[in-house]
Amino acid sequence: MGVSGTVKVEGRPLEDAALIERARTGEVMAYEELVRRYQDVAVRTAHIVSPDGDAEDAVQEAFVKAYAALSRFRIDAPFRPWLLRIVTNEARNRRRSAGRRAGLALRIAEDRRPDDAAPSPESAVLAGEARATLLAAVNALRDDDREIIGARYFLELSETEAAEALGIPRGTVKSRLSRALGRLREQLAASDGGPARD
Amino acid sequence: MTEPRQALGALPDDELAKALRELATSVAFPSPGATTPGAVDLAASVRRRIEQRPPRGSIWQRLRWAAGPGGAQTGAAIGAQSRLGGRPIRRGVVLALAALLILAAVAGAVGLGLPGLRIIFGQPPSPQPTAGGSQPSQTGASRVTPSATLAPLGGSLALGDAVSFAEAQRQAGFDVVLPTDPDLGQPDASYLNGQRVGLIWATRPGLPGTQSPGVGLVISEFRGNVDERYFEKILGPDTTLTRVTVGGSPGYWISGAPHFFFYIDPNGQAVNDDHATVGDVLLWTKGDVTYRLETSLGMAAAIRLAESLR
Repeated sequence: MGVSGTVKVEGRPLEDAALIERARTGEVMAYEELVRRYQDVAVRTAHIVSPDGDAEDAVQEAFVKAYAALSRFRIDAPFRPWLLRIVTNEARNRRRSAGRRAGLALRIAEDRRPDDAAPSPESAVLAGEARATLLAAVNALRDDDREIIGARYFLELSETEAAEALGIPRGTVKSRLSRALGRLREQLAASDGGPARD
Repeated sequence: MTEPRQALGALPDDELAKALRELATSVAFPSPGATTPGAVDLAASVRRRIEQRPPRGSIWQRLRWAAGPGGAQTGAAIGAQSRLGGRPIRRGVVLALAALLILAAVAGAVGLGLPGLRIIFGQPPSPQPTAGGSQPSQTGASRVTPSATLAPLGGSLALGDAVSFAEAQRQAGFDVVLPTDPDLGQPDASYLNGQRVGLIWATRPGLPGTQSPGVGLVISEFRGNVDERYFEKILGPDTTLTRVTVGGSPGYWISGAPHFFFYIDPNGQAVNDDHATVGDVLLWTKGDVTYRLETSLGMAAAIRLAESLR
């Protein structure tokens, strides 16, 4: 694909725009390619927003709705946060009807040793039960705290992307994240067992 | 051993952030796609759902969508083939809904209509299918369908399954009638799509060719109660419509650019009559059956032929 004279849009490969253009004209295969490109981050987003909901179901619905809304998508904007906003809304809708809450979980077949390198001294702090402890504290947080922590640290979204995906003002990402980390610390400091919900 | 809870709680923001980033690699996230054996392919599920519903947008976008992948934009092989293969009924339903939207938009503006047959104007949603799938979407009569000769006569017209004429008569559920012209005789090929009968006669002296090579005459017969069923016919701007009578029954002569239509059967089921137009069309209803006759003979001869059906 020739790129001369084309302004590269931050956060989005050039091919996205081409796929979106083609999908808009009804080329379903082009849209399927977009789905494959973003289904992973979409499912993770849905799972963070609604850990006990059906993430795949929310994502499937979100992709269908995004397709229907494609004509309203600004072609020069990044696709990923726009899509994740729809995913977030779908997942939030499912969250309201969820009763029992189990929260995020660790992988059963826990990979203790990253294959690329020995654990660094910093990461050693997360060995063993520390992971479970930290995740339990995240699970004990309010939904919006878990969302902002998840968006920034689990999904590695930029502040701008996180703001759009979660539907919050760009300027509040930093302060929300800081408050969420504060409450995470409170959870960790709280006596064992009962989460300090407010 | 240090209590992890206290150790973590004592970390400054940047260290806590680092710990959370690392934690992310241990979280059990659902994984879409084929990574999990037996998992449903999410992207394929999305595609199937999209194909089952029309995109938002203009009516013409929806109609092009309804016409199939590739549709009018490209005339791509995939579009042509899927039309040749006959679209599932669901596509017909959507097409019907799209057309109903148009109908709502022009209601009152078009005063034409047989009992149970309403006609609306619009652009054809798709090129006529071509066997090779590579033909541009012009509507000229010079189009060729190279592989059409390999299939039964008219096999590329998406009329349904090729059956014997006797079988078509048996399955139709109504008296299938034929032109009484002895030069025509029984059809050279018969097709059945549900209870819709499609009959084809090859070109011969007195029966000139149409846009489909070798095909001189196509007659389609559908059963329908005019009180409960109606037809929509969507006509392009280059199509002309003439009101006629066929043996005292109301009808229309439609000539010019290709067009398509669908009907809703007495059960409320929309049926997309997506078979290709091969020439000018005479459309009329008699009793509870609707007839469609396609030929290059011209209006007067077509009506005479139609009135000879017995």
